[in-house]
Amino acid sequence: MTPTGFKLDKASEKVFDKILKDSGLAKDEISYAISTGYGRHMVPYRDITVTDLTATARGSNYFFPGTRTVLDIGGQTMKASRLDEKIKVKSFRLNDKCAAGTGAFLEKTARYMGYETEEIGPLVQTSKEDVPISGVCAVFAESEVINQLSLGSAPSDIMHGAMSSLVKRAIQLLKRVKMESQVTLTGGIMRFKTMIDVLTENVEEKINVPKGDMVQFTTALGAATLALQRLEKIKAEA
Amino acid sequence: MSYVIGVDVGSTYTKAVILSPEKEGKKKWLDTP
Repeated sequence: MTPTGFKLDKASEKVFDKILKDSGLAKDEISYAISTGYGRHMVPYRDITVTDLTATARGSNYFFPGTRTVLDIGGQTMKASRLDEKIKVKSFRLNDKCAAGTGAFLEKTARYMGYETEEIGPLVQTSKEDVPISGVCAVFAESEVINQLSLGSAPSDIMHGAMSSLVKRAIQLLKRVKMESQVTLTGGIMRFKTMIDVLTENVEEKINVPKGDMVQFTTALGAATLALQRLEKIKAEA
Repeated sequence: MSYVIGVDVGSTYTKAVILSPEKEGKKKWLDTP
């Protein structure tokens, strides 16, 4: 995993080199490549591309075959989708035009209080109560955070409030796609146990979360499972 | 051997997963940090 930055092709080559090194495989042992995500068209070694909604649906189904709804929250997007029994995306809603519905909102809230992104998880784990944060706008959240700090609220509780605010937005998206059980959660934001706890408290459907690092790799894994399927089809037709 | 790769070029992070063929027992590698 590497920060994408603005040279998307370089980032994709960097992860390719690293994973070859980690796996001990040679480049020519990779027979098929599928790229996905925001920069999928910039991957020089790709055979085909698929949308991140399709890849995340596949990855979610790999771990939890009963998945019918996916909620994916990353650093800059929030996506909810509903799947059919053939793992096709039937309905989706995105929140990709506003930082308030993404991980960037948590990062900004942390920064206003003097914390780094990697401190969010440990910080929120010490929260004792949920301080209301409107989450209407990531920029205006600064004054809200400063106000709460001046009232004596603990940074951990403010961060908890920011997560609750994010969950409220997520639930709006889930309702708009008419969520069905089971709901699988993916994306970097799902590394935070408090996010999972708040979502579980507010969503009646059964919730699944891929274990450990896989929560961030679900989309890449989904692309890989599609690549395997495609390669086997090509071989069968040859 | 026919391994495959899935690459997710996200707006914040880029991630990759390699999968082995079914007969190899679905081995997988992640480019974890």
